[in-house]
Amino acid sequence: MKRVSSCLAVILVCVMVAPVSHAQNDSQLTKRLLVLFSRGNQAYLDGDYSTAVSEYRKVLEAGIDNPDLDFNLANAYYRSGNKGLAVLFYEKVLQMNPGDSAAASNLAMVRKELVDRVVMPKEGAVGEPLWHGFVRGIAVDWLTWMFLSFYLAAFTLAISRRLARRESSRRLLFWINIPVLTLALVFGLLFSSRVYIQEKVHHGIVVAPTGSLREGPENGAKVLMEVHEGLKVRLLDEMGEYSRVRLANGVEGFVRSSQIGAI
Amino acid sequence: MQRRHIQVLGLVLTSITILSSAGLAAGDDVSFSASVDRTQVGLSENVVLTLSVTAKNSVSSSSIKISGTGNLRVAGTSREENLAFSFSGGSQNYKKIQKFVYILKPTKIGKTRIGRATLKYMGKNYSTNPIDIDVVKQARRRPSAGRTSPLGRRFPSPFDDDWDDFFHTPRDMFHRREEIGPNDIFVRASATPDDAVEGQQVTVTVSIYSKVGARIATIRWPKLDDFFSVDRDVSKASTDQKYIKGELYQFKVLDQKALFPLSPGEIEIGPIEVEVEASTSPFFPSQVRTLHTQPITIKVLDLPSTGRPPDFDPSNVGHYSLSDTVDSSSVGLNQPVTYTLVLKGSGAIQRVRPPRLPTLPHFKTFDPNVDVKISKRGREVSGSKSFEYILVPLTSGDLVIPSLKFSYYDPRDGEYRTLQTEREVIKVAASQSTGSVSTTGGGHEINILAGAFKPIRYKSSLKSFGRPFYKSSLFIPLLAVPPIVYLLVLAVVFVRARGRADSARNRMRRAWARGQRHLKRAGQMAAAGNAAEFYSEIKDALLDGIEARCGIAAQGITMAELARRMEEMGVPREITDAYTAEAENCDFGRFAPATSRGEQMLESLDRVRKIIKRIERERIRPDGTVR
Repeated sequence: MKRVSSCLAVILVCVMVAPVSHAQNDSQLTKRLLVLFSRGNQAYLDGDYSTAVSEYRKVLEAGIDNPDLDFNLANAYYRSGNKGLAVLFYEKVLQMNPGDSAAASNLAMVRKELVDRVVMPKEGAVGEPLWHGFVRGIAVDWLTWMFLSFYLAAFTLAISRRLARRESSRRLLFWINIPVLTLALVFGLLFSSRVYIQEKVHHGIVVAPTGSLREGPENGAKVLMEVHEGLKVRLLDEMGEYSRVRLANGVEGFVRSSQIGAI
Repeated sequence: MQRRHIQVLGLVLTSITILSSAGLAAGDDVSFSASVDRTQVGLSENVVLTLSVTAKNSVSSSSIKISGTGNLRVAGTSREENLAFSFSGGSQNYKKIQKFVYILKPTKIGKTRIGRATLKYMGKNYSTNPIDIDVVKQARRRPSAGRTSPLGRRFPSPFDDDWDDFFHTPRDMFHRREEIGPNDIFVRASATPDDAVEGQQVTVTVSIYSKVGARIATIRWPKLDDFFSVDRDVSKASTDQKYIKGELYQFKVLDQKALFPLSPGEIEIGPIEVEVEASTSPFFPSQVRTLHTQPITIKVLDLPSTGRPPDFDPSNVGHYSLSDTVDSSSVGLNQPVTYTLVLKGSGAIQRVRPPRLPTLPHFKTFDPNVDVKISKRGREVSGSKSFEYILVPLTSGDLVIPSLKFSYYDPRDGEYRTLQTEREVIKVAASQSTGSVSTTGGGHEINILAGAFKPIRYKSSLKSFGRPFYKSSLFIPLLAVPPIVYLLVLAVVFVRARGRADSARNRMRRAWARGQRHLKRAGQMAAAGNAAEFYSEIKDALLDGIEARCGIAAQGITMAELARRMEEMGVPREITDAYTAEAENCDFGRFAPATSRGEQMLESLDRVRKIIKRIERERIRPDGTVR
């Protein structure tokens, strides 16, 4: 009996201590990552951009997916002359937070220095639909919460109407619910479009200094054009070593997957 | 639309006046006259001949004949018709004023004559006098040479300043020629306003007017050294149509510049050169033409000296607003603060000189990050200029950024104005928070990022952005719960509504439930030895039992009547007999409780249960059929 009770006590202590030690581990990890981040910042400020990139990447590789980190990394890549990766990380920041004006501003600056300018053909362009751009500009979590709020409100009002005893209350709740339901539908539509884009429409950035857009997923396939770092493409498919991509002007072709970084 | 209505109304009223003064309104008189816009014309110019007919009925162009035009060739014709009303002796009369316009192009230098024009109307002939025209090599520009038109307006030259006002609406006929003349395509420049103060915006617009197809090759502006120039985007300008001297022109704004005069005086903007490829038809080869606008003179006045603030800079002319922000009002020592000064408004934003941040002894300051945003479209240049200063506090305490003043001259109001920012106080704590990076010793990095490039972020929680909420385990339940709850509520409401309904089935179900309760209570009464209550309960159980099966409301009817109805409903006789016997037994037990013992009560309860079970087992339908 004494032995059983001592075993139980040990288990109890373990159960109580485990979350505390886990939290301590988390805190230690965060501290360590903050130190790496600070070192990256210091290296950046000292003009040692390759060290800055290396420090930031260590934080990134620890599984941190943070817009501030990606922004600094993008700046460091840009300063070290790697515009393709700079564009990729600015795009990542904007995907997480479409309203990040600093990232948008720096991205616009970097884009001015890129070699490739995609020119839309006058007719028959099959580029990205306009609504993609519009919906992509809205943060997915904001849309989720807006949709959920109106969705829950609409159901709450509908349930209250069912349970209301007086006819006047039922009528009032019905009329209140009409705009709420309309907004729920509108946000539902926007939300589903945003989720569709998030899940189905993937973009990538050419990160290699130069690459070839080919007609087929083979090394011997005819080269349609040369693409350069920083070019944004839509990723359609992956076939072996190649990715099927579409440019903003609708031109499709195959680029080596290793030359593209997915946003 | 309104303007057009006013024009039409004006024309009608003018016509009425003319007719009244001519004394034509009352009778059936026909008036037929000829006029030209000039009697001396250059070889490269046109003469506009207008034949005016005032009559009740319309006149076809075929009923007018011109005996000859001499050395003038008809290059185009058009027709205009207006109605004129008059009131005389209480009756209303109307006339039609019809104008046949002929564009005549000289073919030879020398004197020539436009012959008589003859009109055949209602069987009568009317004619005009011949008009002599002098064709010279280069006609001297003059406001008007011939008679004024019946509407009292002259036909302007394409380069006259007031020709924009001259639009009328011929109804038919426009003939094109194959060769391209100087009046077939030309460009024109206009300045708004043509007199301004130093630094005030003057918008110069270059427009093209063409009767032939044209493609613009290049636009060459003269040197604009006396101006600060800002290009305006006119790529969205649409092509319009205008009638000039009775001929239809395609009109388009080609280019526009906002010019800000740098010094006072009369400044001439030389001819603007426009190279075009013009063609009368896609089937003919295009011809390259170099067109020139007329020179423009802009009178630039000095900025007024009265009321000029001492800190005024002549670059600051326009209409502005000033604001400032600090990204954080309390920071740690050596932590950078961003102080942003924003100047917004209309004027030469790029050139404007905002207030400079004075030397702040308690801050380390870096060159500002200047961001200029200018509207590309629209006549007026407007936008914003922001100065983002990175300030690093060097001491702790309440550090002050002083109020800044900005003076400018507003040409709209003709006054000097002074704007002022708020004084900013930044609380600087002595200790520095964890994770921030000192910028001391690394000041050059800010300079590297000068320009519009946004610097790195010094502070971050490094909190992972994480998965979007719609992927969390809470999202699907949040979506699913409301409809489920709604369906449950619907079900409950439905069941409650059905339960409340007073149907036979419901009554029978309730009777069965009551019967079961009576039997249960009867058992309790038997155990307690309360015979009166016991028999009362089992009597009720019997009555409810028959109601539950046969739908007979047994309360209040006699036992004989109940037995009869049970038989009618097909309850077997033996059951009916047992039922009535037990019911009588109950009555006896209720009224003589002292004779009942415990065993008897239990036996009675057992019998009642059996009877009820038998009735239930018989599955008697309320309509009397037995299954």
